[in-house]
Amino acid sequence: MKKIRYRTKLDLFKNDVRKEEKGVQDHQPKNQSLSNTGELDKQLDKNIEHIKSLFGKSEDVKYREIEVVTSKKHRVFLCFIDGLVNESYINLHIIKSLMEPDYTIGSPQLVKEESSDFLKVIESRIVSSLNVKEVRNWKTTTDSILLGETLLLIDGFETGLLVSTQGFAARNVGEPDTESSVRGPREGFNEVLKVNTSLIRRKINNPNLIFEGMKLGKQTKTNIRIGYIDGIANPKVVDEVKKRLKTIDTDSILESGYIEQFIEDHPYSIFPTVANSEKPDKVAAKLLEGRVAILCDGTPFVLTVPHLFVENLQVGEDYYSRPYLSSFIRLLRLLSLFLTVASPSIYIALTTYHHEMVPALLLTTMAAAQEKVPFPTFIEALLMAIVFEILREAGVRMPRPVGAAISIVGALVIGEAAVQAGFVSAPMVIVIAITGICGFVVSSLSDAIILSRFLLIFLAGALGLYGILMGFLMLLGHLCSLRSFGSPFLSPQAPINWNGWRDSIIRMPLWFQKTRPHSVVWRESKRQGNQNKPTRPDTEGEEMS
Amino acid sequence: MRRYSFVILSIFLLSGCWDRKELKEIGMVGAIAIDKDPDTEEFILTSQILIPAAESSQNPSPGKPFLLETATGKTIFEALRKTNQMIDRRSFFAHNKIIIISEELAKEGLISILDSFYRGKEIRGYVWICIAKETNARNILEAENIGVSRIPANFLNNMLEQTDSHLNSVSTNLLTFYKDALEAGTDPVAGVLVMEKKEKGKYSQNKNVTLSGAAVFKKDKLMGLLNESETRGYRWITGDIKTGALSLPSDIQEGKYVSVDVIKMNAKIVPEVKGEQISFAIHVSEKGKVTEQQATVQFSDSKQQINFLNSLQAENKKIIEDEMNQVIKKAQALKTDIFGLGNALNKRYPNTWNRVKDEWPETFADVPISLQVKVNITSSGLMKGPFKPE
Repeated sequence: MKKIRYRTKLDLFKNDVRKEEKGVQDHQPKNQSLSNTGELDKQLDKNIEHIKSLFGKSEDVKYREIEVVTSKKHRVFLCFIDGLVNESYINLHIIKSLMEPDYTIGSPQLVKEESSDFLKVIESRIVSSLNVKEVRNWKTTTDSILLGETLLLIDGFETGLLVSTQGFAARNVGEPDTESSVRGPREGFNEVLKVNTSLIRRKINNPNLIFEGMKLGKQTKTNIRIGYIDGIANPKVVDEVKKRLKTIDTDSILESGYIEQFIEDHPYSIFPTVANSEKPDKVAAKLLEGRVAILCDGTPFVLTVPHLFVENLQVGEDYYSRPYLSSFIRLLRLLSLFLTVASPSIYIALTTYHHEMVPALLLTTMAAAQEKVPFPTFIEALLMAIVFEILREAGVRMPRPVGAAISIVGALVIGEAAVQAGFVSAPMVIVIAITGICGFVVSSLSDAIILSRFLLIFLAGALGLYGILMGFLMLLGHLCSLRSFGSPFLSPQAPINWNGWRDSIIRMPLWFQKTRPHSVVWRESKRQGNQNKPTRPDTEGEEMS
Repeated sequence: MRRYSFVILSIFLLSGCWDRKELKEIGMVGAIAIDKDPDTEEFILTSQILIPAAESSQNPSPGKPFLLETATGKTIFEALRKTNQMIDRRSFFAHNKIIIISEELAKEGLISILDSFYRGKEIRGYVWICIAKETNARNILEAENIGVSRIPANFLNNMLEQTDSHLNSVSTNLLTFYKDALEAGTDPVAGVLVMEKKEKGKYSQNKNVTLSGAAVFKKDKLMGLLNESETRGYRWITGDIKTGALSLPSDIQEGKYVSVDVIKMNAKIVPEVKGEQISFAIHVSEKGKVTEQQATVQFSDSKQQINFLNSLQAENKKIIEDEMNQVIKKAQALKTDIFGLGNALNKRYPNTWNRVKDEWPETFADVPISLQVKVNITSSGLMKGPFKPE
């Protein structure tokens, strides 16, 4: 009885949605047929009418009609979108040039030319802009206007001119918040695509650096650039990236995260198989290793593929500072990764199943701390881990002025006060603190870390160390099964590739890394010569002999 | 999908958590003492259970950090489980440090007592086995505030762990005890805890527990106790010395002593078989240094100093030989081969061993043992000779 009622309700709901969808779809093609099909007309009035019917309702689309008087009168029409264009540029280089034609205009030579093709005259002599192109169909016209170009129509011509007058408010190139460094460039990408490509091109001065263009999103028509270095990147990977991007059929791409979710290899995995970065130096380094970058207009986050697991342990600074400390810190990152995933669960397993593994003195201390706590260790750990995540989220989302309040409350919740009140034991606070701090060390993996941490907490609560072992085996097996654009996610560790070990868990000196990572390019790829090892001038002869 | 998740969930819900024990539910047993009631012939088992709250760093509860609970039973295991009737925590033995057995009980044989511990998985193999001399084993656990550690179990454990910093006692854990007791060619020894009652004021404490001497077993039965000098002899023979002090009478000034610290030593048992005659030679070499010199004389030349060191070496050698002879005499009288001579014979002359192993205790009792001791005193510390105030 209940089941039937449930089904009819569901059907009703479904029908509703379908009706709504139909309404939207009915409206859409009309609009699109107007903008997309057809060519420009010879008569200016018809063109104006067409444009106004397209953009008529929008207040930010501006029109300007002027008369240019040379030997004849010409009606000229301008259309642009307020805010997307540089107004002083239009004033100076289009309107002023048109209205105050220089003295040569009156010359007989010009009169002759003018009578034949006034459009050419405007394009080549009057408009003093860097980029002017002719246009005949409405589709490119509207698209270009929407990108901030100015449409210039002249009565009597079925060809319009598009002048690139883009100029809009953008954030300055600044230091990124997500990836800060002590040594190395401070600049980060911003939201403007051409600034981002220029930042990369300034690092790699090479004609082989290619940025292929593409537009994604039926409604947003977001500009995308696929960056790669011809001759280094594997052409198969480039083709695969293009193929996957082409199959995206969606309304909107508002951030590179949208693209990531449409092109990743394993949508059901908790591990990301597409990397992102805000730093041009990092993206440039990845391009030079043979990866492909996907830049998306409107976001500072640039995607790079293929993405390997070890990249989460690597930081640009590793390469800028000398190898010894870098290698040590990479090992620390690996340790942090282990600690942040496993420390709460190991604590649970030791205190509820394997008391004999803890040294007697430590066990006494731990037992003393637990004595007054009302919850089982498992519940305690679960609560604390959740509270920590809530605090972290609050720290990210809160408005800046209340930051101090959050940190005070946070210190109360996971700190001395909680211990004093007897809600949690002091060792648990330490364990959660270690977990949290270590989580920030490998922040690029944070989503996978948090989920696997909770998985292990549950396994440890039910099965002890055996459960943790099973959990790690599951995670490891899963990691081994992942691929990112043809590269095994765990390479160069699995499948093993000794060359790749030179720059994975430890970083060998730069002069030692003679080839590009095989796990990315999948072919022999020499990066540098053999003579790069620095030698003292006085031992040069000895080295040779 | 729903079916699979049901299967996976039931793995956790049905198979998990069965041996889960929160720290609040267990009572850590630090030490066990075993006596025997002479009237009922039942075992009296005393467990020392730690009270963690008293050790808390934040607000420790006042009072002793441990609890003594005594239960009786016809078997050890029965008594162990009976303890749970009297205490609100389930006994947890993995951190048990020491099992103390009274001298009387040990004479009846230890294997039948220790079986429960050795068979079960709850107690570790390296728990110390000790004999309480001339007192109930429980009394040792009752002694309070006798060491740095507030918990007697930790105090006893640390004391037994540092037998290598002196020569006067031995320490044996459950595993070595079993090994030595079950093997044909050797007999076990065990540490001896002595309860000393001192006159109040003399040493500021009225009770003290000392680790002193060794208990000698024949197989698993206690045969007798070694005094401290006999124990030193035993440890010279087994070569189990890392450091320790020897006091030697000084021959340059009457009534004064010289202290020698053992830096390094080696001992080797060499069996010799000539026809039917089995004999053993024990080679001991010791390296020592002078750490104390009470005499206040001055050497006129370095020759005198060399003479002094030579005589010191001879003195040292004599003491070692005396102590070794003492313990050999005692062991042969008790017919227990605590030195493992039988094992050494087995390794070198397996055929001879197979012939004699059935009556080995009797053979051992009158086997000739010769001693070869080498002493080398290499250093006199930071000072060359003795000082004479002028």
